Amino acid sequence: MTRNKRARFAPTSIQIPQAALGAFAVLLGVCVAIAAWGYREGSTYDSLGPSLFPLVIASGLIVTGLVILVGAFASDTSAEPVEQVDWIAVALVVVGLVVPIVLIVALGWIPVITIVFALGARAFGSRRTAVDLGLGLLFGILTFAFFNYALGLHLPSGWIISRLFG
Amino acid sequence: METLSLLAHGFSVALTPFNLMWAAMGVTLGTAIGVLPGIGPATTVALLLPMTFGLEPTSAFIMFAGIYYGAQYGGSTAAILLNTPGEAGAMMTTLDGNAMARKGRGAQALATAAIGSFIAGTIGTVGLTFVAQPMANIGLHLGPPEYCALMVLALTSVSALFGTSVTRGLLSLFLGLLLGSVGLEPLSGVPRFSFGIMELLDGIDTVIVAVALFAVGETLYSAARFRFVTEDIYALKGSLWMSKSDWARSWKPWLRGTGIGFAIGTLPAGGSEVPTVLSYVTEKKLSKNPEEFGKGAIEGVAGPEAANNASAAAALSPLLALGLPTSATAAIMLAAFQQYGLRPGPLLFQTKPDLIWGMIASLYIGNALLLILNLPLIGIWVRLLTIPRPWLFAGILCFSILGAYTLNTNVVDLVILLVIGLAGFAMRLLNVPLVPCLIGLILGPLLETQMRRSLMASLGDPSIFVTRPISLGLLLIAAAVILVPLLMRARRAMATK
Repeated sequence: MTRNKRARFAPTSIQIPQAALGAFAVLLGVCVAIAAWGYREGSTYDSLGPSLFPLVIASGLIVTGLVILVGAFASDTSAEPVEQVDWIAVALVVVGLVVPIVLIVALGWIPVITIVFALGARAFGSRRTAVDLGLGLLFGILTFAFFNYALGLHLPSGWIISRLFG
Repeated sequence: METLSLLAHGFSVALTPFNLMWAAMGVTLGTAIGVLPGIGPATTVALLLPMTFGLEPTSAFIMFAGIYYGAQYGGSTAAILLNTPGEAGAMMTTLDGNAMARKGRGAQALATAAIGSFIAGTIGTVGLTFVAQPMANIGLHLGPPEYCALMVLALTSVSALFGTSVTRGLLSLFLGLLLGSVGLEPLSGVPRFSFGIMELLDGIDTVIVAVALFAVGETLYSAARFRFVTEDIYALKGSLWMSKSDWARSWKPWLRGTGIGFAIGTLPAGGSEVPTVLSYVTEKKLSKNPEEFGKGAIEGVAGPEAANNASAAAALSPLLALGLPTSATAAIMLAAFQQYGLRPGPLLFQTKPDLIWGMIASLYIGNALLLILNLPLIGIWVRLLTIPRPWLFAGILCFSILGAYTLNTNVVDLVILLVIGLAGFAMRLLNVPLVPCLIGLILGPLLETQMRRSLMASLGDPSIFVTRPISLGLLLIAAAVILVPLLMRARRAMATK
């Protein structure tokens, strides 16, 4: 009975994540090849010049991508199934990575890292946001002091703060 | 004898109070960060790299030597008590190490790992002392085609030997090579894959990629899985010392593991996974009670841990002498050298003997410090394992941003961190190994330069790679590394049909 069922569903048992990975690699390889073709120039003896190595990479991506793609249709078992993913937690971490990109110049290191720390803790199930913010603030102040005064590097203090106090 | 006097000179550099302080700081930080679950030695070194930015190179590399060994020690603690191998090399340790911890023998597992690592690290460093210089001398005689073939061998073996499938390893490698070719082309200065963005012309920084793939990728992956997994930590109890029979069962595996680890680690092809697996299998074969393996056999911890540390020491010889990294950690060490405008390889032995020998001497010192640090203080390190997960990973996230941003103080690097972090996360989910990507990234530009130089020398004739015996031999081995596993799998598939 079970065997029958499996046989009937066999054509649909394509491993979608695997197929996507293979297709992505092939597509990337094609893009790389197209871009690389434009880099042929210079008068070096190796006629392909700067495009030679990218073309090697492109063919590598296409070949490995095709092998993975074929494997996905032949239900290659070498890849374990993709595990369950908590997308909300992932999204929180991603927001934590986007915040500094957008705000670090304006707000400066300390406020940004306070927010990032709280977001990161939240992604791992913490509900004590006030404590997390406090710890993040502490982390921000300590690293700011260490890097700017002990190591002589320049973590930004942010133009809002410098406008207010400078 | 020349080696000994160079080493003595190295000690005179490393033993100044100032440098000794950096060595001590390196081992302490290395152990402290390396102990944290989910952070392997490679990530530890990458995250701690910014700390050394203000130092002059010799002190910085003395500190790095400490971080390098400290991270290896710390990694085994998490592997044994939490069953989380920080990297492939610690995988074997988790089998019996964690089984011992479950039986309440965690302290003995940690002790045999620490003492075994000390012995292996010391013997491995002695080996490195004597192998590095001759290897550098050989390196001086290699032409571009040979270098090229050597790099192809290193890259293919790293891709084929890590992870579950050769194809995925190679895919990861090509992704790394692609990332490595972003920016100005090394010989002609043509900008490639930079989309007109100024900051990309310099290329993508290896340290950012390492932090993104390992630390950010791991944080994303752990966040994704956090709700679905539970972890148990096993407290240390009872006597913390190894009994007489523990010693009797440990010393031979230590020495055998050291031998296996050093022999394989020195090859410009290694990787830390192979020697640990080989050591484990050897111990199981030689044991009178092989059925104990997997259920807490101390030999199964002693051997692989020694092998892991010996290969970590040995991997520094191809790195220093030939500029070839064979593990993720070595790749980041190479990036650290590049940060200071130094290029490991035969010439560095001539131009910067202070730095090279000071660093090698501080490996001896670091190893001794680690033994002192680890045996009595193990309780403190174990406490680090109990940091609440939300704070631990929030901290890792902040450290990653700190590391990426302080490198060049620009926002583009933070965008790269995000994009490659997401790629690392996807690769974790899809079982694509990360290490080949990182090594491909750092070796790609070097490989391309040597390849183009070879072709210029031969006036564009590609047969130069197969008409020179050494280059041909290396390329044949590289082909075998890829083809043999594929053929074996095909044969097995035929047999089951």
